[in-house]
Amino acid sequence: MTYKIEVPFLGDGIDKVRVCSWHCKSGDDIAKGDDIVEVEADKAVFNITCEHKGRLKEILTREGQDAAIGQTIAIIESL
Amino acid sequence: MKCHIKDLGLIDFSEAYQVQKQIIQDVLHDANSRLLICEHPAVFTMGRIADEKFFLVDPKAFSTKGIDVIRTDRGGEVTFHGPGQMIAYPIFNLSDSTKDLKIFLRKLEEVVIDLLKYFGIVANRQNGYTGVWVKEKKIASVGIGVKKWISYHGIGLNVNTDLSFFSMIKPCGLNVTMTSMAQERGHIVDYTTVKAKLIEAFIKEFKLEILN
Repeated sequence: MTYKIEVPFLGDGIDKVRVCSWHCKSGDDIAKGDDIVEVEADKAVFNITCEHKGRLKEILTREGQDAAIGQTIAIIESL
Repeated sequence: MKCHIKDLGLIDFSEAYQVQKQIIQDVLHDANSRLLICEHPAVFTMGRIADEKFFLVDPKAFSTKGIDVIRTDRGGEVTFHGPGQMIAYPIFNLSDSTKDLKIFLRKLEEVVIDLLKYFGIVANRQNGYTGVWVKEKKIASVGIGVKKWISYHGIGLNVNTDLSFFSMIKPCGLNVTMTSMAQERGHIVDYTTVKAKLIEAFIKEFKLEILN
């Protein structure tokens, strides 16, 4: 089974973020509750948390790239 | 929002960062927010994706003067912190109020605007540029981090700051002149009174119930 890591709603008027820093890479095991990526909007760096235990299958949006709110930026597969 | 207030005094940026990390865990544990107030020895900090091009002086030169340059996990570009600049780190449980980063940032600005009013300084926002301004000059910078909807980092308000350090950078990546409360008032401002009024402004804006 796979899960999407999506950019969550961060506030009215925030329609995109910039991916700053992935804390893990493809193939890494992820625990439920791990902060896996930092994204920036306005003057805020927001840590996106993975809500599922699994393995990071694929990063879809790389550091330095922009992503829209709701966009899938990575895929997690369950172990 | 229930909140403890902690005055860290004069503390190295890196040490204060470790304190923040521990307090984030405390907030996760008991859901009560904390407001940290402090002052840092001279240091330049850079946001997570800040561009080194905004240093106007080779940053390596700062180490000979004993001034660190630290990249950290907050939003924004490069800025300076030093004696006379009041730092507020609201480690706030945003799940307790509103999960909206824009609203939170605007509230942080409002705290500073409200505080400055007490001292007869008329401050404002500039649309599209987070921070607090006195006409065209910037008096306070804001940059935050958020983990599990708990905020950290925060505000740097120039009270009696030596503004000459800002000439070594493009503060926040902008062609901006920095100012301070001392510059706007024409004299040194009582730091203790500013601290008290800052806390009052936080209590008012965030409807804090102080626990200590």
